[in-house]
Amino acid sequence: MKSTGRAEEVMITGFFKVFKNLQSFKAEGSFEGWIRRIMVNQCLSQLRKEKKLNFNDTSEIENSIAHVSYQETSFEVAEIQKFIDALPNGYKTVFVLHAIEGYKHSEISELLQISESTSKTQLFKARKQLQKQITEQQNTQYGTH
Amino acid sequence: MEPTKFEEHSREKFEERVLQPSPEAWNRLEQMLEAEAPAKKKSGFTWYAIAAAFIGFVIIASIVFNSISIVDSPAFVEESTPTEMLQDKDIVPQQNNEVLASTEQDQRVIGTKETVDDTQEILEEKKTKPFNSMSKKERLANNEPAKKNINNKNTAAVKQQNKREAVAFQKPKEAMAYNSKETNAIIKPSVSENRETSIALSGIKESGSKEVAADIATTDVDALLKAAQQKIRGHSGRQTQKVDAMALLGDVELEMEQTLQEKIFYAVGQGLDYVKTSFVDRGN
Repeated sequence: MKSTGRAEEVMITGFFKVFKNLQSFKAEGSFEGWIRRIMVNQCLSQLRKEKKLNFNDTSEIENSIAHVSYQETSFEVAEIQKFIDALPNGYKTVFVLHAIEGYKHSEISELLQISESTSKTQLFKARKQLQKQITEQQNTQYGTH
Repeated sequence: MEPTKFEEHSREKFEERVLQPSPEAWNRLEQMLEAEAPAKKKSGFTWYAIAAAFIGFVIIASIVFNSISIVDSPAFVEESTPTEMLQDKDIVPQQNNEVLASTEQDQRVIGTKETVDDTQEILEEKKTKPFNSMSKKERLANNEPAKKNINNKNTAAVKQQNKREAVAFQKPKEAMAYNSKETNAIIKPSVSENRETSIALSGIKESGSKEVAADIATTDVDALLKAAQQKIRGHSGRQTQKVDAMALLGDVELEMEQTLQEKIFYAVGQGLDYVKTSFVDRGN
């Protein structure tokens, strides 16, 4: 979610669902994991409502990690958030789910109702764009110093 | 920098980050939950109401059906003719008086004062009958005017007698209709015999009127009465003692069955006795 207000809205709705379906929680997994899953689903549902989930580019790229490498720099959270927010919604969603939340491609494909290869392609493209942004950022920093 | 390293670094940074929602967010969440709660309560109440209504219906239905079954249950009485009546019937009546004596016995079984009084009245009337028959003999010896007078008297007496008989045999029926269940059971056989007696008496009535009209001998009346009595006896002899085994069993079960209240009282009483005994034993 790009804006804090919308993120808060999603959080409230997510917690409401948590309280409402508290009796349906089975102590099979962790309670935190259960809440996290509800929140992720709520976010995705909100994005679908807003029609911001678009996975048009489905060209398959094998071994996407091998093709991308970032410049060696340590960024602060705000800078990383800025890079991620600059990504298109499809790339961003898959990148956040995979890189930040730790979901596998099979799980992402299930959540977003896309194929695994699409998920991989989206991740590759997200990384490539991030690499570009980081390189540009580095160049700008070196240029100013 | 390897992509995995950058992503791990990003994950760590995001995990360390803490975002505080605005206080309004929690208020809104609370409002949403409160708004949801009454709806749930409402639905719960309706279910409770439905359940209570169903239970109430079942209880009422059981009470109603039980009351109906109690009312409909047949009377558990052995059908047998009263011994008193049988004794009377063993003696073959020679005259109308005796027939009415047996009728009086029937009325005694019914146990209504009115009917007994009426029958006594009829008896008194009937006692005049031998006089009538005697006057008939005298009538043969004496002149015609006396005969006519006597005939007129006889006619009037017989008519009056017929009326009273009709009243006497209507009243027992009315009395029987208002009697209780037990009385009804006793009455049943006597009613059937009353009917027979009334048939016999109607025969008498007919014969009485014919007597006046055609001067038929009293022996015909006696013969008719005998025939009627034999018919009655034949009926009473044919009647078998019927006992409804299932009804008797049901009656006994009803008596045996204790109510829940009685059971509770019994259990509480026993418990109290046990406590008392143990307390006394401990004191000793």
